[in-house]
Formats: sequence, structure tokens, C-alpha cells
Amino acid sequence: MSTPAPLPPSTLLALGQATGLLTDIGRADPSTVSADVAVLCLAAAEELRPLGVEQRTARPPTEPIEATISAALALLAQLPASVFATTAILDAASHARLARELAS
Amino acid sequence: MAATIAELLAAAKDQLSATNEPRQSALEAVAAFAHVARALDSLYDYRPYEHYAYEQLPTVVPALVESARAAATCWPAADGPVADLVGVAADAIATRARTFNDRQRWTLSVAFAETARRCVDTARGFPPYRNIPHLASVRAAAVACEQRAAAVPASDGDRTALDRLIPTAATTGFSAVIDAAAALHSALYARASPRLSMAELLITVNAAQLATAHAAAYAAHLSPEPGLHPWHRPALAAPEAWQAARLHCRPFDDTTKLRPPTDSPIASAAARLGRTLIDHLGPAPAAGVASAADAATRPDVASALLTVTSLLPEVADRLQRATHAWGYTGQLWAPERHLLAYEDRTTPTHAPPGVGVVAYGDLERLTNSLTLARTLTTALVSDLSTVAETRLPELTRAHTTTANTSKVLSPMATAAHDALRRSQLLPVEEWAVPTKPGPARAQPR
Repeated sequence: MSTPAPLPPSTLLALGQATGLLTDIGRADPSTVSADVAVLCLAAAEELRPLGVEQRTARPPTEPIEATISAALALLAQLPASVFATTAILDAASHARLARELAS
Repeated sequence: MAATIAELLAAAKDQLSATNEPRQSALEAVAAFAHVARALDSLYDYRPYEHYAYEQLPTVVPALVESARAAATCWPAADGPVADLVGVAADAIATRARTFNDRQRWTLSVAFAETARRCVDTARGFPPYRNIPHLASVRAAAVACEQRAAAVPASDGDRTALDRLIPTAATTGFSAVIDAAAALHSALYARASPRLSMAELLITVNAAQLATAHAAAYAAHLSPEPGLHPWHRPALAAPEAWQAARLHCRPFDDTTKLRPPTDSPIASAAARLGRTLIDHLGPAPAAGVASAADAATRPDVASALLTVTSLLPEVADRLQRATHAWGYTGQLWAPERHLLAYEDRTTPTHAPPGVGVVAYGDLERLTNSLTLARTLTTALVSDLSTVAETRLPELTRAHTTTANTSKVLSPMATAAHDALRRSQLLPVEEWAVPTKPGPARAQPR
């Protein structure tokens, strides 16, 4: 179910960071990221973007791919349960989990 | 056609959005809760909930089981295609629940939690169901599972469990080959005890050798490793390892060689696999000989062989468990000349003259051959996966990773070749426990 109330700034910050990390992987050099992982990360980022997160410029991931996805997932997992229960975030987490499996 | 647990859950997800009528969709969605509860319960039920506390891991799963079971009681007569699909997946889990490890259980729990959550969301699309507390509690429990899955590292899960194939009775095309392999794999995993009869092991090894021989003939088309002879691929030795295992069984019997069990699902499925392979692909090709067509020409054949071969390392693992069990149960007999020296035996035997009970050490060569077969078959999967599509992506990926990180494939291929040569030194005739009593011997005074 979607949350009608506006999200608090700390939540938006965490969502923005997670979106940024996932976008970084999706737009990374194809020699470092396989196509299926990139597509899943971009799909996860697209799920999060309509929630009002602040977008930043994509940059190449500095950590290994699996660690970067884990960091994004950790940011999502730390959200309050009521926010994490949003369908968009649940779907984004599902995409990111699968991407992490494929990247490992 | 055989389907995997992942495919069934994906089909259930698609089915949830297939019906446009909200009331019908909601009724179909809520019907799945009983099967979600059943699947998760059977995953852990042989040590109910104590297991969760011991693991310190999925404390969220019991909450989902309880809430899904409570929600299911609200709609006792509900049914539909979603429930059918989730129900088949739950059946597949229930029959193999004891064979899953903790990581596989956790992955399955998350997959079912996701399915339950989607069912709730679909059901709540029907306005009268929007505020039902049972649905809210199922969703909260499912979300808690998913949140935990996001928090824990990837190493806590193992997605190969989602690739368990559920056999059907397809009789046409290469689906029949895949179905037969799925039936064999399923029958081996459904057997609660590790014990097998010798007849069951023999026919399974024969079918596996046939499958790997055909797969190796397709893999032989792959370009050789740089600087090596075209046939120098460790994977091509997999059929030899299976054949060595078969030949090492020659001296052993538990009275089933000549009287195979008539009601064994394992023997029946293995016979079906062998028969369908011969029907569709012919007898086993000679070692090192490439097939007439390559994977690009016959992608359907290469894909079916890759899928079947992906199941064989786990088949070898079950056979190895059976040989370990034989070492302790003493159910096998063999001519004494094939057994360890009397001085090396630790247990007294009560067998007819000239015949001894097979001990653990007597089975070492057979066990080693099965180890070689299992490892080299993963290499065969890895090779074939470069040119063929698989029905079991997670399992194939796991085998490919294993093969790519292994540094002992070439020595194992040599060992398989040596094991085959050594096994060919055994007497050509198959030994079986005599069916008639031998001539009476004079009793010592």
C-alpha cells in the first residue's frame, strides 16, 4: 500500500542514497557489471524515484558491486517498518536482492 | 512439462494480475494463504519453532505462518489458479523439507513471504477486503520477512532451492527427458532414508552415464583451451567417472541385482530417463566423440541436456550417501577376493563360504568414483552453460561457480580415466548373490 503522508527528511535522505547507489551500478561500465545486474538495479532505482527522493549525478561505484548493492539494501532495511511496507520500496528491495544474488 | 518452485511462484504472481474483476481476484488471492502457511510450516516442522530459536535467524517466519493460517480460516472454501500454483510449490517443499539446509529454507521463506504480500495487496484491491485485520497481519509479517532479507547478507540465502523441478508426466519431445530427470531427482530426495538398494543405484548410475555421455558429446564442440589438445577438457571425463562407478559395483550385491524392486520410484524414474534419452538421442556416444549436431544447430537438445546434467551432481551426492550407509548397514555382499583382507576387517561376518559382508573400506573406490562423477559433472554443466539455455538458472550458476573456482578439475579428469581403467580389471561377469543354495559341505568333526 502506498503511504499518503509525506516522508520525513531522514527517510528521504536514506532513500536518496539507496537510489543513488543503485543508479550508479545501473550506469556503470558494462565491463564491470553484467547486464542483468544493471537492469535490476535500474529497475529498483526506478521504483524508488517516484517517492520524491532527491536525484544526484551518477558516478562509478567505488566499492565492489555486491557490497554496493548490500549497502543500498541496508539503507532500505533501516527504514521504519511502516515506510518499508510501501509497495514501491518492497519491489525495489526485491529487485535489489535478486541483483545482489546475481552479482555474488 | 516439469516446473520449478521459482516458476510456479512467478506464475502465481502473473495470475494475481490476470483477472480484471476485483472480487474474483481477491477470492483467488486469499485462497493461497493456506498453502503459504503449509509450505513454511513443513519447512521447519520436524523441530517446530525450536529450530528458529536455535538459528537466531527467521523469527519472523513463525509470525507469517500463524497469520497466514489464521487468514486462511476466514475463507475456507476459496480456491482458484493462484492457490493451485502455490499449492503445488508447497507440495514440492513438503516432500523434500528435510533435505533443505538453513540457507535454502530462508530463501524459500522469503519467496513465500513475497507471494503472500502480493496476495494481500491483490485482495485489498477489492474494497470490502481493504480493512480486514487478518490481511493486515499477514502483510505485516510478510513485510517483516522481506525487511529482514534486505538486512542480512546474501550469503544467508541459497537460491538453488527455488530450482527444484517438480516432475509431471510429459511424454513428448525433450520435455519427457527433463521430466524423467526431474522425477529421478525428486524420488531420490523424497526418500527419507539414505538407504538405496543396489539395483536402484545401478540403474541410476547407468542413466546418469548416458546423460553425461550425450552432454559431453555436445560439449566436445566447444573450442579447446589455449595451447591444449581439443579434447583436453576435464568435463569430457564425466561419463568415464560415471562408468567407473558402474563397473566398481560389479562385485557387490544385496540380492536386488537379479530381483530388482518392482515398486521403487527411483528405479522407475531412472529407467524412464534412460529410455527417453535413448529414444530421443540414441545410445551413448563413445568417449571424446563429438555429436553430429552442435548446440547452435540443436539448441533444444543442448538445453535439455544442460538441464538434466544440472541435476546430476545432486544425484551423485545422494548416491554417495547411499554408499556411506552401505558401509554401516552391512546389506551388501561380495566374493571374499574383492574385499579387504580378513585381518583388516573390524566386524565378524556371517555370510556363506567364499562370500563376505561389504564393509566401509571395501566401498572406497566406488565412493571415490562418485566423487569424481559429481565434480566433473559440475564442470560439464559449466561448459554447456556457455552455449545452451538452462531451465534451472540458479542451480546452473551455482555449479558453474563451483567449477570455475575449482583447481583440481584436470587431476580429477585424469583420476576418472585411471579409475575407469582400474575398474575394467574387475572380472567381466557381474556377481550376484546366488539364488540357489550351493552344494552342502562336509561338517568338520
